[in-house]
Amino acid sequence: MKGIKAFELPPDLRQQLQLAKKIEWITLFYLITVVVLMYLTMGSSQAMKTAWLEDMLSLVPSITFLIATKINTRPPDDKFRYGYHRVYSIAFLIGAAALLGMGIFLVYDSLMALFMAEHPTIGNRVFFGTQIWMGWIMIAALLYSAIPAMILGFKKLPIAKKLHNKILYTDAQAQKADYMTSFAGIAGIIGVGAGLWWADSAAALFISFSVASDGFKYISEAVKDLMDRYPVTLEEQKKDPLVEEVRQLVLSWNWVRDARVRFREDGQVYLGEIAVIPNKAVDLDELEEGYKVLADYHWKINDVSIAPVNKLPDW
Amino acid sequence: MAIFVIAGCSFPRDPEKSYDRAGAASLLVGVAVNPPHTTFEDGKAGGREVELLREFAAANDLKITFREGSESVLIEKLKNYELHILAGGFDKKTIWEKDAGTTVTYDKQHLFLIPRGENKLLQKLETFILQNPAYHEGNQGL
Repeated sequence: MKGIKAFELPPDLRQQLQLAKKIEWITLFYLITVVVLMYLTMGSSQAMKTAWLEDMLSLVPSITFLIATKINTRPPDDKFRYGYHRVYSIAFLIGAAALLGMGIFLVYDSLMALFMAEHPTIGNRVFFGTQIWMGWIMIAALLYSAIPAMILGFKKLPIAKKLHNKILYTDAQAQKADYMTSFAGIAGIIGVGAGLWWADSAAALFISFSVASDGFKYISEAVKDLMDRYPVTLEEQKKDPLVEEVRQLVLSWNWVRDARVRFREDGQVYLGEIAVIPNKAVDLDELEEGYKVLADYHWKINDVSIAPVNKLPDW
Repeated sequence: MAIFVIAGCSFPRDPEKSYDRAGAASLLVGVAVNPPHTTFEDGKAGGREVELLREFAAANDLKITFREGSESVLIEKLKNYELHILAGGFDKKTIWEKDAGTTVTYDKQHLFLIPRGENKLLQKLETFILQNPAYHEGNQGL
């Protein structure tokens, strides 16, 4: 068996990871300003409260990503012999659970506001000597919470795909879609201004449904990964062709008659086994050469064991 | 931008039309007696808050009617949109915060209650309060 190697990305991807970290730090500081601004302006608007909680939650992926990248690269030690890759999958599950929990709470909260026929009261304030209806300020805050988030999301998306990093991908997707919640919030505030008290709660309900459904989708993804399903590509969620490629590679070795492979996702990388039926007595040097070829084949193939067998196993 | 300016003139509106109904009939003010802010003697309302509201009504060409009552009874009427404004020396920490909308303070401490969500009425009243610095800034001793 080959010892697991400390996780190392190829140089060009290491650069991408540095960039991702930088963008996540920017996201973190930006989101904190959004959360503060939204809190100061939300008043008694249900839609603002919902959007505020959503922004608060969107801090979770950024924070978990930054923590997980610190832990992820640790080499395997006595206690964790398989390394620390899976910290990503766990972080992803935590983020998804937070999203779903908050989504359900918000659906309930907005439904109650709707049933109780709560009329949001939006007053006026003086800014630099001019009296302004707080609704306009809320709309400005919602725009501030949407546009930079969208830009950050678009910047993170390609990096996440290259790194095969789910938290980063989820975070980018969520931010890219953030304009929908913000525009729903804006529609709610304008509705209130037009004398439709229910517009606010209805907008909040729409936002909370989108939060809950995202949470549900991500939880099911995270659980499937932790259940060691066949590795899938980030975007299309199709079986990763890399697994079959590895099988073909092994089959091309002249001492191999038949082979079967299985891999599971461990955070960004794949761990797995290869069972081979040799067509002659196993030569340890050839086996060693095989390990070397696999280790250099793709950075995602992080740890693998080659098992010579008489009959291929059922997996 | 032009849309925002035009919308700004008629924005916001009242879901329950409190301000328009006050204009069609009379501005209905609930008075919970709390001297020196509000008094009610011989069927006549008085006190500094009553005076302020009389000026507000005059400035907006509204007739004004005062109804005396206890806070809890008047709050119920306000919640049912049977009153437009409630005066009684309420402040920022009023226990009715969940049942009614609050205006800005007129003396950095005291404010009026309005039916929740009646944002046009609120804007008219707040505009009057904010544009009368005599009420807004002075009278610290009140």
